[in-house]
Amino acid sequence: MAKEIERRGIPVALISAIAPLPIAVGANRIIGGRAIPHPVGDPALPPDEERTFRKMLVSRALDTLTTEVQDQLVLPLEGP
Amino acid sequence: MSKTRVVHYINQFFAGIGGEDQANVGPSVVEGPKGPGLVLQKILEGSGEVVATIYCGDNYVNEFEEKARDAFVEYLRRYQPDVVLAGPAFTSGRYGLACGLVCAIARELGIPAVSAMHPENPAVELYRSRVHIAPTAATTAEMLDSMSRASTLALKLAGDQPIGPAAEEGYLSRGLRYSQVASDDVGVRTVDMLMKRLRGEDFDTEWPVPTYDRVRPAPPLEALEQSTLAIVTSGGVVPKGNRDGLQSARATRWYSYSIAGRPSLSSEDWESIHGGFDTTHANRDPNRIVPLDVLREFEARGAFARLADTMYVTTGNQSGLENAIRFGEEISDELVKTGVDGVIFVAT
Amino acid sequence: MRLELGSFPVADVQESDRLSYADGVLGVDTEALRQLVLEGGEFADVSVHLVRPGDQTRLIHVIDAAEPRFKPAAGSTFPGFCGPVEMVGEGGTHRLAGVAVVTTSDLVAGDPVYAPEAIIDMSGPAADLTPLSRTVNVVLELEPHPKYLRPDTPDGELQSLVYRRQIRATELKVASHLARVTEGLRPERVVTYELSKPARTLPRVAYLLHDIPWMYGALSASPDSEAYGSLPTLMHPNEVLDGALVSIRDYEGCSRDATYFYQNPSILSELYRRHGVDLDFVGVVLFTGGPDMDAKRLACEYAYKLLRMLDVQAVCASSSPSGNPWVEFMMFCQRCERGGIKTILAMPEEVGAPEDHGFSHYVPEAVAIVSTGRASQEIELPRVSTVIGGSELHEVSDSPVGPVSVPYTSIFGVSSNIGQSWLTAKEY
Repeated sequence: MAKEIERRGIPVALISAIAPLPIAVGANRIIGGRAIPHPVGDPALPPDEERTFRKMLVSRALDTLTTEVQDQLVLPLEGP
Repeated sequence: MSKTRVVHYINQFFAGIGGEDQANVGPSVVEGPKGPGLVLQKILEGSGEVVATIYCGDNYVNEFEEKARDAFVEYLRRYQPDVVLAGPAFTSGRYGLACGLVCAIARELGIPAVSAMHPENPAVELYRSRVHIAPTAATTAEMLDSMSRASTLALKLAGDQPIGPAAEEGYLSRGLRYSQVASDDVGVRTVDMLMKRLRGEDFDTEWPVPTYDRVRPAPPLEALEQSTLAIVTSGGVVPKGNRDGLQSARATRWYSYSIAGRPSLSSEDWESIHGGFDTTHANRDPNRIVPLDVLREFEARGAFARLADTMYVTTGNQSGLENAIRFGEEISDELVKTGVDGVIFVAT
Repeated sequence: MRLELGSFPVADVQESDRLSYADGVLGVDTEALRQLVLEGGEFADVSVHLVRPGDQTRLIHVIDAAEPRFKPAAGSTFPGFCGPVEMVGEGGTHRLAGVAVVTTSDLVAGDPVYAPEAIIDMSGPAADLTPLSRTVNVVLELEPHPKYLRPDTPDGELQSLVYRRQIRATELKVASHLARVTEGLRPERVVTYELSKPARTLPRVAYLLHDIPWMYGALSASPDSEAYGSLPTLMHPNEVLDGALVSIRDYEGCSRDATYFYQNPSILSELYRRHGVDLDFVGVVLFTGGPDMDAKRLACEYAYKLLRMLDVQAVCASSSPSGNPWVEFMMFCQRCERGGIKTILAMPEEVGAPEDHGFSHYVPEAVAIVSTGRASQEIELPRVSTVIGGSELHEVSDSPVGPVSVPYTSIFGVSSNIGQSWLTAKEY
C-alpha cells in the first residue's frame, strides 16, 4: 500500500514493528515500531514516558518525510 | 534404512495453548508429535518419525527474536533432526515469520528445512530464498494436503537426492534460476505458448518478469511546515462498534473516517478490530496504533501545517498482495484529490 | 511463392579423390577444398577436417556454419555471396541434409579484446544441446592472411568486418560446391513451403526476427556504431529458408545467429507447420533498433505499423543476443501488447547469477517468454582427443583439451532462438 502511494509522488513514513516485511516488499521510508499490537505505544511504560516514546517515533517519521531517499531508508528501533 | 528424524515447529495456537491471548508465551519443546504433528506422523508412517515438537507464541518470536533464536538453536542441537518441518502457517503472517525463522536457523546449522504456507503469506517474500516452502491453501481445512506436500519435500531434502525445479517438486520458487534441457525445442514451445494465448487458455511464461518492483522513492517534502499530512493505517482502527463492518482478516475494503477537531483517539469512541493480534492494549489507548495525540501536538507547534481531516483505515491481516496494491491505488487517488503532501502510515 | 526443398540425407562423410554422393555417404576431396578456399588470397592457410557426431572432437573459435545448398535450375544459392542478387524462396533447392560447413578462425586486427568463445563438441554433454553436434561437419580451420593482422591498420574495426565477411563468402562457396554433387539427382524427400490461403479463418500470426544479418549480401543495417539501425522490413519466410540471410556478427557463442540456423529455423518452421491448421502465418519482420532512444522508438513504431498492416493478432519474436538491443526488444513487446497484438518472446538469459532475475531490461507487458537457457551458468566439458580451431580458449585459461568448465555462453548455438535449441531455465 505504502509503495503505491509513493509511486504517486507522495512520501510515506511507514512505522512498522516488523521492519523486515516492508524492507522485503520494497517500501522506501521505514521506521521500526515497538510491537505488532502497539507499534507506537508501550504499555510497560508509565503514561508520560509512553507519550515521550510515541513522540520520538512520530518525530522520526516526520524527519523521513523531508529526507531525500536513494535506496531504502530504514530506522530500526534501538533496544527496549 | 533408519527412519528420518523430523523436528516439527508449530505456534501456540496449534500447540493447544491458546489463541491471541497466549501469543506472548515463550518457546518450549516436547518429545514426539503434537497437534498437527499427529497428522504429520501418520503421513510419515514407516519412513520418518517426529522426534520432537517445538512451539512458541507468535508475538514472542517476532518481538524477542534473539531469545527465541537461542532457544531454537538449543532444541535443534538437542534433538539432532535430519530435517525440520515448520507449519503449515497458511495465511498467518506472524506464524509464517516464525516458521521461516526456525527453518532459517536450521539451515544455518546445516539441517535441511521445509515450511508450508500460503503463497501470499508475507513471510514468503522474506524467507523464500533461504527455505523450501510448500504452498498451502488459505485455511486449515486443507491441513492434510498441505502437510503431505511439506512432508514429501522434507523426506526428499533429508535424503541425498538432488531437488528439482520448484514447479515439479512442489515448493515455492526460491528465486534461483538454473538451466534445464527441455523435451521440445524452442520453436515448438514458442508456438505452443502462442496458441494457448490465442485460445485464451492458461499459459506459463518460462521466465517471469519481476513483480516486486522497486518504486522510486517519492521526493522529500521541501517545507514540512507548509505540508498537509494524512494518516493511513492497516491497524483496523475504527469508530467503536465498527458500523461499516471492516473485516478483521483478509480485508477486501478500506474506509475513511473523520478525525476533524479530535485532539486524540479516545477509547470511548475508537477500537481496533484487527484479528491478527491481541487488541487489549490498543483498545485501552487507540493512540498506541494511531498516534493522533502526538500528531496534534506537532501540528499545534507548527512542525507541519495541517493534519488532513480524513484518516484511511484497513486491516492488514492475511491480506493478499493484489488487494494491498488496489487499496494503495484507491487511497492515493483520495490523497491526491484532497491535496495531501505526505503520509504517516502505521502498519501492525 | 512456392519453395520445394529437396533433401539428400548424409549419414557419413569420407575422404575421397573426388566429390561424390552415394548411399548417404558424401565423398570429399579435401585438397580440392583447400585450393578452393585459398584461391581468393584472403587466408594464409586452411586445414580441412571431416568430423562426425560421436567423435572425441572439440571445435573452438567457431565463426559460423552453413548447410550445403544447390539450385538445379539457374539461380543463386546465397544471393550476394554466391551468384547475383536475385530473389530466393521460389522454385527448387537441393540441400545436403545432415551436413554443415563449419568455419573457425583466430582473431584479426580490429576484433574486440574481449572475444566471445564459441565451442562445438561432437560428443559429451554439450553435444546434446545443438543440432551442429549432430551433423557431419566439414570444418574449415582458417588462418587469416597477414594483411588482416597488422595492428596499426587504420579502421581496424572495419578490417575485421571485411575479414569476417570473407569467412562467410568462403564458407558459402564451399557449401555451394559440395551441394553441386546433387546435380541431376532426385532428392529423397521434398518439402513444399507455400503460404497458401487457409481454407477457414484462422488467427493471423507473424514472426519477428530481431537481428542484423547480411540480407542478399548487403548489410540489413549498418554495424557502424555511429549510424547503425534501419527501418524494419518485411520478408517472406521462404526467403529466410532459402539463403537470403547470412550471419554477420560474432556474438556470444550460445546465441550466435549462424547461417545454418536461418536455413533451418525453429520457430519459423513450426509456424509453417501449423499454417492452415492452427494459424495463418503471414510473414516475417526483420527488426533492429539503434544506438539511441529515438532510433529504438522509430524501429518499434515501424515494426508495429507493419504488423498492423498485416492485420495480425499475435507475433512470435526472437530476440537479438543480450545488450542494449534488449531495450528495443522489450519496447517492441510493450508497443504491441498495448496495441492489442499478443507477443510471445523467445530469448536467452545471458546475465546474472542464479539469484538474479536475469533481465537487463523488462516491461510488465512481457508476460509470455520462452527462455533459451540461463547461459551465464557453467557446464563441465570432458577431455577430448582432438581440438580443432586453436590451442587456447578465449576467456578461459584452462586448456581446451579439457576437462574444462565454461559458461553456456561459450557453447555454439545452445541458446539460439532462431535455430533449434533445447536449453531452457527453471525456477528453483
